[in-house]
Amino acid sequence: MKLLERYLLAVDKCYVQSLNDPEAEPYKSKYEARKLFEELHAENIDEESDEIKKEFDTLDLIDENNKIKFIIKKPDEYLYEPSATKKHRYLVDLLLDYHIGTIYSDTEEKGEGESRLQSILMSIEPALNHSLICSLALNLLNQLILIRTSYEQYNEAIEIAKRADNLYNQSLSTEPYLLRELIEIDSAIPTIDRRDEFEQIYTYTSFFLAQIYAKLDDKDQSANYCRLTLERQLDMFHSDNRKHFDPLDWATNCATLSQYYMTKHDYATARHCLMCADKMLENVVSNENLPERTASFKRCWIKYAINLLSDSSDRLLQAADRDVTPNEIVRSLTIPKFEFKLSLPSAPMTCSYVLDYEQARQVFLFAMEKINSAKSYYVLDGFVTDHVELCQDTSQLYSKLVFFESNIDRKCKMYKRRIDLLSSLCKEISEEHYLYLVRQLLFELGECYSILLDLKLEQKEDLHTIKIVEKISHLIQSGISAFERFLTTMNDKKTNEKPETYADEYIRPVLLAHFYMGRFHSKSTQNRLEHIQQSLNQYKTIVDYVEKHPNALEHIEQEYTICKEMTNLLPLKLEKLRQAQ
Amino acid sequence: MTSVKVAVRVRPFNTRERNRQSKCIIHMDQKEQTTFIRNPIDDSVKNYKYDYSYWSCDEDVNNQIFATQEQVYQNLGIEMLEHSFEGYNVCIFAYGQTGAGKSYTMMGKNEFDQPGIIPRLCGDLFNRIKSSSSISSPTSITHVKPHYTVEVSYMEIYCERVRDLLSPKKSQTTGVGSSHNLRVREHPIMGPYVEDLSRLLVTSYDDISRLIDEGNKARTVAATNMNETSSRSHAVFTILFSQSTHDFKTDLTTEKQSKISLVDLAGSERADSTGATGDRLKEGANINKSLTTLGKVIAALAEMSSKHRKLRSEKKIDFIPYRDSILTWLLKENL
Repeated sequence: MKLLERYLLAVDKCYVQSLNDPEAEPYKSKYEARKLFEELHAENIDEESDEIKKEFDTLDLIDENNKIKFIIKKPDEYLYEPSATKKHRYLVDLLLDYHIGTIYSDTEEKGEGESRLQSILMSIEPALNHSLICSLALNLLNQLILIRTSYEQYNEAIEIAKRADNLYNQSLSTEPYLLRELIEIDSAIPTIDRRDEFEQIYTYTSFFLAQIYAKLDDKDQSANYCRLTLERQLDMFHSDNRKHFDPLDWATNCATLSQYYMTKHDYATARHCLMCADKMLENVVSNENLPERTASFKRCWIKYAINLLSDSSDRLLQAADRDVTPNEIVRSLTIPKFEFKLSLPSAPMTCSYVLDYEQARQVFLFAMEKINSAKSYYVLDGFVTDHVELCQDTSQLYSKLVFFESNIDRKCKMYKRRIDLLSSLCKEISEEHYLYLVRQLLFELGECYSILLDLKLEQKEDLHTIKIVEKISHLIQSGISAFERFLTTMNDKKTNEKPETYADEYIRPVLLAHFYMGRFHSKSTQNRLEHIQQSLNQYKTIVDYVEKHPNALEHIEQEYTICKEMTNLLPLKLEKLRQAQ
Repeated sequence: MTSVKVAVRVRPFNTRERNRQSKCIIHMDQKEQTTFIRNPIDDSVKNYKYDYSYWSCDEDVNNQIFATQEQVYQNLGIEMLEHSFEGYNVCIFAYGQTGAGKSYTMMGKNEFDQPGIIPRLCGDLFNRIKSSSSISSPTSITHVKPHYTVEVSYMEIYCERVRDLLSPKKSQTTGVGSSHNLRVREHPIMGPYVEDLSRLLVTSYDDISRLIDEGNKARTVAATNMNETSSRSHAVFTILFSQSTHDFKTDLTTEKQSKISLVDLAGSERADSTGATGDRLKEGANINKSLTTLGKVIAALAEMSSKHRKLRSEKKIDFIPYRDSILTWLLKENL
């Protein structure tokens, strides 16, 4: 068997077969491969082709301080030089050593691996961007980056990556032979394929850097290199080298990147990423994951809209508070940090903070369209969690929109919509199986009733007409029911008793539920005596709980002072009411 | 009565550990059910209170009472079975590295006649069924003896993909187990379920034991073919126990159904992202070599950034997380 064949077998064993190694012997194939590579040092190499001889014309081998190195030879220089065969032999040995060093590193002998790889690097350093050397060099640098990173020497790893950058930039016009071609050049391979392989190796360098910066907690740089990696992958797509490219994957990663920029309130960049993700989906040939993925991108847009409205209203509030213009709080960024090379349609939605109801409504309508579309995939029967979350998103959108609405009647209508949505959903899902969701829905429902009640009272309608009294009464009852049901979900399943102590994450919601109920009772216009007593009971429950569990105070500080006051004032009020009867 | 119980069990030294003269750094207070772990470097001691701390290490070490398979079953298994007969669902979850002794506790060793929780549980289950169905057991005028059915299913979950380990559709390449991925669906009233998961009727512990073996075979074979190690997947063996009683007086049949779930019967190391198992490589320092994990890296970045933002903002009601203002689960299939 020829050297090349045996080499390829060893490579396959090392990188492919090793994936199937048994759990108890995870390095079995790698150890075997290492032996194979070591044996190949003794294997004769075939006579060089003219092509490779020509390449060796510009590559010289010298002995510097007892270290044999490759150097670039100037074309008209004539030095005593070894034969092409000797150079070839040395180069092949370096290639084998590269694999052996990598195997040492992969099999937990990193120190040994690193020193071997460093030694190879020294031998090729003066000739890094020669066409026979550059691929080996770039792979080598990547390995050294991995090793340094594993020792948590992140800054050193970054320095090595900078060398890789230089190498890459200096090799832009070089013909980078594939590693196996160091043994025998394959004239059937077009230049573009070699170029693409080389680009792929450098893409890994970007990818590693993205992770290293993440470990250094430099999120912006990390995101930058993630973006760079995506960009490089996109270049592959454009150059028709789709071998390594998966459009669905790319689109998903791009959409995920948009989420990062959203956390930075960079809506322009986030929007750009989402638009690119949508565009890339057009290139996905039918795939069983496509419908789900398409629907999930819509959800990204929904979150985008909710966040934008939320930030917009915060901004306006802060501006009002500090008596400045919104721009002095934060300016809208309209230009994305970068642009992927994809031709995009015009933007479906703004990326600037909204200022008024009309603008907010546009965002709202856009998001509602996405919600309805996503719901056609995420139907309730089959996707309960997702469907419920989409409904919660709807509720959130209304809650953000209402900030911009000044007319009380219309505000009331929006709350009614939320209430209808949340209450019908509560009835449709099993409390047993979706306890967490049901609790969220009930709590939000109760809050909505509370706000709607306040709005109704504010409407200044004649509070004594029977119709209004009934409406108010109904809202109070419904609100109390929602919170009561919420509290009941916390009870022991067998005894239906209230727990002595609530888990930390539930302390505030539970005490708030009592607080809301106390308020509901106090707003009642009928049966005042009874309701005030109930109200007092609720506030007492809160005060008692905090007394028994002092650590609960931090969760409900503001409301607690009110509760304490109420427990002092309300008994007096009750007395007065009793005397009046 | 709490609905979650945690037990920890320590096993005897193995040959390798004995050869290296390993020191035992664990001590258990069996009255308080507390486990103490001594740091051999600085002698500091940390203690952890569990519902049960089982000392099953060498008997002559540290003068402690040895916890037998029988005792473990008495504490954990009997109550499980009782709940199951009452109609409640129960779940037992075994967590630990390969070699920690999960299989011993869960399945036990046949040759030394030390059955684990599962054989004892199943044995008792069928015994109770038999004794209540036998002619000698008392019946009342209105009730017939209840009718029992026991079915089992066995599935493997890997990266949110579910495989039916008992599927009649044998994989063509492996001849055992299905390579087809099943979907998890959520029914609004019935709750989450695995679509098309096989349910096989069993009538004895032998049936169950045989099916567990077959399922395990399907796991190993598939892992070899999938280029993934089985240590990263989770196996869930479920016993569906139905009891239906017919009341002559009212002519009504009531049915109680309970599920006994046995989770992770095989190794559960946290393999790190490079594919090697966790205890050898420091997880924190390693980076992913495969570009297929790019999404995971981006998602982690977004999550880190989001948490950072949340910590700075005012404390909101925690249990209604703002349904995460971002969606990093998009890649759940690839994570």
